[in-house]
Amino acid sequence: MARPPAAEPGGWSWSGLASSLFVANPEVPPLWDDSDLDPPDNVPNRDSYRRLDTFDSGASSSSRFGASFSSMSSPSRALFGAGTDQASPQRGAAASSSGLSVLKKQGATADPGLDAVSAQRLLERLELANRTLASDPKMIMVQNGSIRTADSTLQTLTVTPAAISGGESDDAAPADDTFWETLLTESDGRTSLARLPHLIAARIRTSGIPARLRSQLWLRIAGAHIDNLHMVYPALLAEHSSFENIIQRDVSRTFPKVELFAEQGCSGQKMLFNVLKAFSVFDRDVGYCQGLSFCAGIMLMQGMSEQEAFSLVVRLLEESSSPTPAQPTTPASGAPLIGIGAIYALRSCFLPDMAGLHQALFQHTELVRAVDPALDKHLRECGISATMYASQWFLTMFSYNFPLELVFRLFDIMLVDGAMLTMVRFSVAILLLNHDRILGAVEIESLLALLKGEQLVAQYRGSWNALIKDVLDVTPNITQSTLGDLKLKYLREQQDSSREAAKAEIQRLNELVKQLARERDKARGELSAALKENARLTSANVELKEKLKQNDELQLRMLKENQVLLATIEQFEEAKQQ
Amino acid sequence: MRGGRKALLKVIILGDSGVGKTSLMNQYVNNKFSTQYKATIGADFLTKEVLVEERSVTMQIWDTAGQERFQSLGVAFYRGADCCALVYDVNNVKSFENLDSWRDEFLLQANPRDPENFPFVVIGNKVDVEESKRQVTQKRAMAWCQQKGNIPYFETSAKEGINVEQAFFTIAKNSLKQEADVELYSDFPDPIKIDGDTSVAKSAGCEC
Repeated sequence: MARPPAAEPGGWSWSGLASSLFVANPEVPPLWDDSDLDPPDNVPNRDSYRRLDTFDSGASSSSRFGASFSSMSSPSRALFGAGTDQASPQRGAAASSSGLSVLKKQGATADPGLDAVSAQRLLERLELANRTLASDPKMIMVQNGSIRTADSTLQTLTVTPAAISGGESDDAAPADDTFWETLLTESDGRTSLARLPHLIAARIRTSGIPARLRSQLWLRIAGAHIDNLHMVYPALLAEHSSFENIIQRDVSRTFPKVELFAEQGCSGQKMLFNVLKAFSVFDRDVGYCQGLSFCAGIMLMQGMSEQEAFSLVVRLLEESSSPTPAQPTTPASGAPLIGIGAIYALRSCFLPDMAGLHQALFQHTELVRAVDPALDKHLRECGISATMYASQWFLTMFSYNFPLELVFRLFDIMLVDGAMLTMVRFSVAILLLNHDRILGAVEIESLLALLKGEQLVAQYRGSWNALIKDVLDVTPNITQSTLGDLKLKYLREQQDSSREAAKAEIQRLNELVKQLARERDKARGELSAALKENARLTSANVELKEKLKQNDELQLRMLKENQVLLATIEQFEEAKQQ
Repeated sequence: MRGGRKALLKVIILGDSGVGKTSLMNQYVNNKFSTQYKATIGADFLTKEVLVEERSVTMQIWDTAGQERFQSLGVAFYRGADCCALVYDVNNVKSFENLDSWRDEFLLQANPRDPENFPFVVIGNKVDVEESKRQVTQKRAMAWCQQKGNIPYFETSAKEGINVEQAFFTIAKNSLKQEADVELYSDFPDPIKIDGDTSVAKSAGCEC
């Protein structure tokens, strides 16, 4: 398999940056401390109110999100490696190996099979590990460009037995279920999950979430389980949406080969319709955008209810959080890593101008160009732009043409590392990992067929943990801050091009002004000629009037003479008669 | 100059969501119809080798997403197109009324050399559906086509494979003519090009 040269150990200039950020820099504050562990009592209500309020006002700001995930992504990637999970009860109900199977909704609390006391004990150990990881950067050291932790306890707790073995089925071992079930236990009205963002992120990257726990864990990690949205859901459904026709057409064209949605008018299609329709009413600016049906479909495939899938769609698109989040946060940004308040900000991808998608395509293209210039050049020479293959990837969260098990695995990671960051990492990495095959294809047809997706991951079939590991290994330089820089660059270029357009418009208007001036001058010339003619005519008119007057006088005189003459004749006649 | 080289024709299929663009392309290229197509997101793409006037050409057919907002992605697909097929559903009047905006948007983004004479083909699809559901008459559609510069018009059923071959054959023929015209331009030095421009435009107009 081809790797770009930059991915070789030690080859990344980025590793220096990593060490300064996470190892050498004593300024890095703990992401969490004990005082943060007890949130205000009214967390859920405040948060729910905030969320509805935010969406209604349509306010958007993703700036806080920008910083929050960048500070967590790297230390938590430290936890790759071999090890065995000590707490491994022999539970027959291993997770289904198929993510496609529709699973019944799991209870909100732990499996009753898990002893409450031992769950509590395990949880305490996990919290300790999480705190250690979060607060002591010295725990982490950089080795060969990847970051590892020295703490053996941590490794024991976070690494699954099956991790990164490759070749075998990736599905989490039963032992993994215990880990996650422990995290689903609630104490003081909160799940334990939100206390352990770093451990969870690490665990999710190495081995993912067990299929049968996915729906509950996704909702909890995204903070979609506590909100008032389920209360407004029936009201949203009752309203009319102008998108109903297109949604109706699309539900039968979303995962048509997946059993849940396969049959015309089946319950899966109805659920999908309802979720999308409710969303189109909830967020009228987005309404419905093709691609969303696939995103919602991914959720329903986990066995979520309509309301749950709706809440999760809302959370994924949501762009801003309240000024005072109710959860423990990273001091740098104020946004929580996991749970209520975590921001995924995919909304702009689906708005009518699709600005977020254009930006993501730009980020993807720039990163490919920077990391693998030969590949970028090859694609450009073959006439292929990212729009042609990656729009589909981003708008459907890779579910259009990649194997669904992999899609679910990516979705796990999106929830802890950030949605767009994970998608861009994957989109870039999957090209880098196929460097030779892409350069080997010269016909646009074969290239676009390859870039659809399935073929790109064929060599990993079933070994998704190994793929994810390779993806993260070849993209250590893609962080929230990289994406932030590229976003600025994109916006600058947009600004430049609109400035260019404005300049061209000004030039056009200047030309128009000149032309109008020319026409005006011409008209002036004509006017002055006309005025002269007018003057000439006026004077001629005066002359004529004068002549006319003389004429009149002459006529008058002649009339008088005539009268005198007539009088004379009369006198003469009278004299003659007499 | 163009005799020996194999021609590559780029064809764009546009039209509202759900009018059958994907089905038309698949019926033409693979002679297949399925009710299990996914909604097209972004664009999809198939190729077919055809023989036009004793010349072998490769048709590169781009099937695009029908939702209006996807037009913002259009420029990546439209550039360099040799022909554009505008598709509507004869049982959906809205999809017919939107042909104007699809045509305008295409000309705006593809920015062809000679927009007045760029080859379009209009396809009214789904004629297999029962007559009582029909919302756009053939007369109305043909009047529109005539008004837009005598655009060739076809009524098809991608489901039953009616008229699909004929529509695409016309697309291929007109694209080839368009391509030849473009080649003609680039062969002439500048002063003559202007003359060439008008004469070619006129002849293309007459033949349509």
